[in-house]
Amino acid sequence: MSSPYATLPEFEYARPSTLEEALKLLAKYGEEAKVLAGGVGLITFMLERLVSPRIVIDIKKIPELRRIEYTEGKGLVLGAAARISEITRYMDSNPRVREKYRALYEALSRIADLQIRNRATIGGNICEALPFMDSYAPLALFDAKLRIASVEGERETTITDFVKGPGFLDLAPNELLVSIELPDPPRESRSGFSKIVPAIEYSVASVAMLVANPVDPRSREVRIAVSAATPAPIRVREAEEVFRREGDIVDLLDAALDRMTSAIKELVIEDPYASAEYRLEMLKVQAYILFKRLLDSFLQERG
Amino acid sequence: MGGAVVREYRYIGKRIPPRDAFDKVTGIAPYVYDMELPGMLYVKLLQSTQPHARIKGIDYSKALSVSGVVAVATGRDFPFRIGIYVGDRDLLAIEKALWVGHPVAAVIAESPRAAEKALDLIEVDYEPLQPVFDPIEAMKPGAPLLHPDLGKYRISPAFKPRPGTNIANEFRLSKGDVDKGFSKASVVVEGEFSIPFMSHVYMETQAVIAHYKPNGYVDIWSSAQSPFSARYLLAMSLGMPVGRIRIHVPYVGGGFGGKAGLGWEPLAVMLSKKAGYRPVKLLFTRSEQMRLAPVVAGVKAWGKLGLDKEGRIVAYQARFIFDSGAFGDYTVNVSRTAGYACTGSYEVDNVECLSYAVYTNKIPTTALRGFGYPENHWVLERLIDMAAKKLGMDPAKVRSINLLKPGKSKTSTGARLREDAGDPQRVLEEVIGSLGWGREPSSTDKPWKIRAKGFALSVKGPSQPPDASSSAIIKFNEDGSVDVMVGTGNFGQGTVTSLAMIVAEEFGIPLDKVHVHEMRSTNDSAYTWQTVGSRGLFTDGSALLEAIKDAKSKIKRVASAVLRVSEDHLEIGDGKVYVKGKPWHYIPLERIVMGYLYENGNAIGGPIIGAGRHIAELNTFLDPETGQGTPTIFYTFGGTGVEVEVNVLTGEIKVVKAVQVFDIGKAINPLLVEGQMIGGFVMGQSRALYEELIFDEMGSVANPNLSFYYVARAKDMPDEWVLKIIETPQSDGPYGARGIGENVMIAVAPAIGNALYHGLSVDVRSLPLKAERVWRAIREQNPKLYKEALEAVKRSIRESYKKLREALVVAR
Amino acid sequence: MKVRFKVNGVEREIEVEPYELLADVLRERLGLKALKKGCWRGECGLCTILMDGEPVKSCIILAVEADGSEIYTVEGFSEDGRPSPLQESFIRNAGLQCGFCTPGFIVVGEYLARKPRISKEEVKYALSGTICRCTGYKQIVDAVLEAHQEYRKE
Repeated sequence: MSSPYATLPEFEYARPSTLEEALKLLAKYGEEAKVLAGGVGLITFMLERLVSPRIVIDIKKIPELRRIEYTEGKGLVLGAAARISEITRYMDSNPRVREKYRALYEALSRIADLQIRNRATIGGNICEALPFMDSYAPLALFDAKLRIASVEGERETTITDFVKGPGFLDLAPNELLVSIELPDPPRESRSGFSKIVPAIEYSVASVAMLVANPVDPRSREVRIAVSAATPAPIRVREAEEVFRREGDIVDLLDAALDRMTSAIKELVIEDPYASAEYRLEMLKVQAYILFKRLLDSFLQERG
Repeated sequence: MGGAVVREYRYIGKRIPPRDAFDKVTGIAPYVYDMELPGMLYVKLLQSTQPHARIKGIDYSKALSVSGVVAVATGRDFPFRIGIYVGDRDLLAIEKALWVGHPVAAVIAESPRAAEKALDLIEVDYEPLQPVFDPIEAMKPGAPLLHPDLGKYRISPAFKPRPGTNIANEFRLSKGDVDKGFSKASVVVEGEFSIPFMSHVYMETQAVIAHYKPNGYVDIWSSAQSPFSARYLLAMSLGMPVGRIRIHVPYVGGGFGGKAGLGWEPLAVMLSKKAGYRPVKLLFTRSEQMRLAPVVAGVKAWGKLGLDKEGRIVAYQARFIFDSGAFGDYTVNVSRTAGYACTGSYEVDNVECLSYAVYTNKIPTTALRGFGYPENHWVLERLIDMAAKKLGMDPAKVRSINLLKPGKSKTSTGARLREDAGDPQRVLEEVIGSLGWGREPSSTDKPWKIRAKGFALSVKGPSQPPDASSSAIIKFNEDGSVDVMVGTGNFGQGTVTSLAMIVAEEFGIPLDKVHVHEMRSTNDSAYTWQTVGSRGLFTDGSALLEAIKDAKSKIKRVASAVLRVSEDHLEIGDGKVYVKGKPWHYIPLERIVMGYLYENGNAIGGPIIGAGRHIAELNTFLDPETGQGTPTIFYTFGGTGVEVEVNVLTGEIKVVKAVQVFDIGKAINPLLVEGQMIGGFVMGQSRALYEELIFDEMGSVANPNLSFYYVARAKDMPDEWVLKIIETPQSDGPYGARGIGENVMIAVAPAIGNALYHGLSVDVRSLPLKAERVWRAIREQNPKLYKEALEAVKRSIRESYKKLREALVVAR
Repeated sequence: MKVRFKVNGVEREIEVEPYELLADVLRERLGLKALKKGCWRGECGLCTILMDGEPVKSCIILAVEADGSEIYTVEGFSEDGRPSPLQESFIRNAGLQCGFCTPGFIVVGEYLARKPRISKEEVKYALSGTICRCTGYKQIVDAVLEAHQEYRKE
């Protein structure tokens, strides 16, 4: 964050056109390679000399990695190199998909700014591994599956298993994040995303929430995922369980958020931009407001 | 204003687009950032990693072996100090590093890449010394000394450093008897206030190119506000004749005070010499800009205000401690200004204001738009609202009672306020009128969002030495068009356009026949002290009017012979010189301005050149003990009102409405005046709500970038604007005009602070009013508000839930 | 490496190192100096260009990544040296002061003003990736909206 440099360190550049080629390069160079998608993170990190790879592997020309595809029943598949603005544009032209994954849409359409969204990719956002990356909470919310490939084969993981903490991913040097699959959310669900950006460009507390069948305790589903306030994204399942109970809805929400507090309070980040106390409280406050907004969106639907 | 003749102007007062706009929208405007010279080398500075350390040795042998590296310089190469007010600055750290970021070595290379490579190979051997980061600690006896030789530095007469301490300047304003004053008070309020360090964030970072030629002449291209001052100081420090140094200034990509005084020219010049008399370019990245180039001092302040039962101010006491960082060069003047103008727009008989600039092991600081005034207004304008509330009186009323009365009142420095200084009462009325002060703010559709109104007044004049002067030269071309030479710089503030309008108006010629050559180089331009302090239009405009008068009289002298009437009977206008009352007896200007040719071939006159100057007559130094005297050529009164929307649960503030009212005497060009009012508001808002340089435990700037140091963006600007210009002309200003450039941001922070105070009963005394700070204040000072907002959210959840259930039942 | 792209309507082919930034290549090698850097890390938006029709920040793009793309900088918007309707609108509205950020705003502005529909709110948010320290943005927003009306007439 304090680099005086105006030039990039020297490196080689490869632009594979197939996944296989990319994986081979990764296998060959391992830790000396860095993957370039949108470059928003990598180029800045290189300017700051946080990384100085021997080779930069540009994955944007691999068609498979640029996929943005929704299939009824299967869900939404995003190639790791799909641009943020391409994803939101796809959703804008498929409003049904947008509403299904509303929390993701809200998060992505508010990443940084217009120019950055035209360049940044979903895979890059995930692999930047900073707590405040905007895709984290929604991906946790939608039980996204991350497909990871290497020359040795493929594996599947979740965002919460993949992102371990600041700068720390469960990704071997020869592996590549290939795609992100978001299964269909519960029918008739509503979701949303909220973040606090207090005089910095990044969130200090982000909440994604999903609600289905809100007024029927037996089938009601409420999901809560948080990020930015914690070193890595968290799906707060212990809080979600509360909504299976009967009772006054606000009492349930109170109880759920209490559970969330006890589950995460030891983990909350404290830094000069926001105290742990503020971040924790902002998760709660946003959860209340977001829950209210989601209920209202059910109402609006009904006219 | 019964009986006053309202003159109809052709250009003055018209909304004319900026004259430099074409160059800027097409991107052809050159900045130093863009410039290159043949054979030019690039400089990169190595920053200290220690906040306070003796430099035992610097090994740059490896750096020299990098291909493309021409030379490496260290503080040993330049064992002298420089500065505009206090000569405390080194070019590269001499013996000691004074902050994390302090340049300790410079690499000069054929390319930026080579310079950067070499930078990584320099090894510095530091012996750490005890640092001091807090200015209050730094003032205490026994604190680690940054400048043990302070007593030997060159000091301008207006400043009082205390050698043997870290105090770079001490200023005292003392008038009347504060103890006696407070004894008559019905209410007394006091409090501690603070403002953090900030960065100017002019978009063009510091850029300078210097070429020290083997024949002893120096050419410099600098993104600077004060080329003439810089040239003079440079000549003095380097022992060179002034005339051998030429500083060129093309377009400047923003300055806001940060490019005032002496910049990086001396270092660049010396590095050019070191590099074998080749031109060198110094250009900072944003990160360098925010870690090693001067920023804006943080302030810890205290104020105490007493009102009698009628609301009259009976005493005011304040103390400002400016954290000037490792160098105090310009900040000493900031501290002085905050002190001498501490009573703002009000007449106060009993005053005592102390102001200090104190060295700490942090990044050095310098001037910023309006300096001294945003700081003292943040204290006083907040205290007035606090005292008014305590007294149960409308803060508008309290202000009205205490406002300075032109022609009658004496200012804080004991100078009588001129009769035509402006109409502060009307400013106040317009602010509260436009804001709808006294009427409840509109409610919002979200129960956790509250709207609140607040306002504050402001006053400011240029802070300049009494002998600060300006000049202007005009000359005619064959077609009757006019070239205008002034020294004022062009950072887009609009002076160039206004000056062109003045010339066009005075000669009655089309605007496109006037070519204003703003500051180009110290040799090619007319002198002006500096382009700072909102002085440009007033001082350079006055000089220009004198030059116009000079040219007119020369034209008349020639025309008098040709038209055979006395000069007194001639008039100039409509591009002609003509006989008063007989306009059909005329000569077109183009036939006379290069010399008049008679039919028989005789010629008289010759090319017309007009020269004019301006100096601040009757200004004085301030008394060293009491701060009394006449420090300024005008005061511009103004006021700012805001309506904000506060999210009670998160502490986030959105400014929904901005009111800006200024009595600027005469708006030469209202379009550009409004540009200042809007731009200054948003900069003020940014400072009030977002901006703060954050220091880590090494005193190092932790957020030297624009992601973690946030400045206002388009999405942050207010939705609604009320911009009002009041015109109470000042007789010695051009067309009655006063300055405006800096005044526009002074009252923004206190207006927002006052809005929180009135609307939410929350008193926040530290800037910025970041969300968490406001949130915390609400929780601590008005917990009921927070609780109610949260309850309201919960209630609305229940309501929505109920409705949803009902809707489902119906659906079934 | 060889990079082939179309800049302001002209096909260019240029040899670059993989670690050269697009902004530097456009400025230093192709002389498109209207494009500025104000932050060196993708924050301030002064280096904004249109790349395949979309505004992006060229200071965090490698020149090699631009291979095969179509690029527009400020220099590409004026015809025969005449300002475009958007540039005229910036002049009329005084949507600039020091001018250093202006090229960045003109590029995004052209992109926005030429859209079939834009709201004031959208313009404010879309301009928020570019920093202006002088104007306070209002006159810039006004300039873009006014130019939008003109482009719609065309």
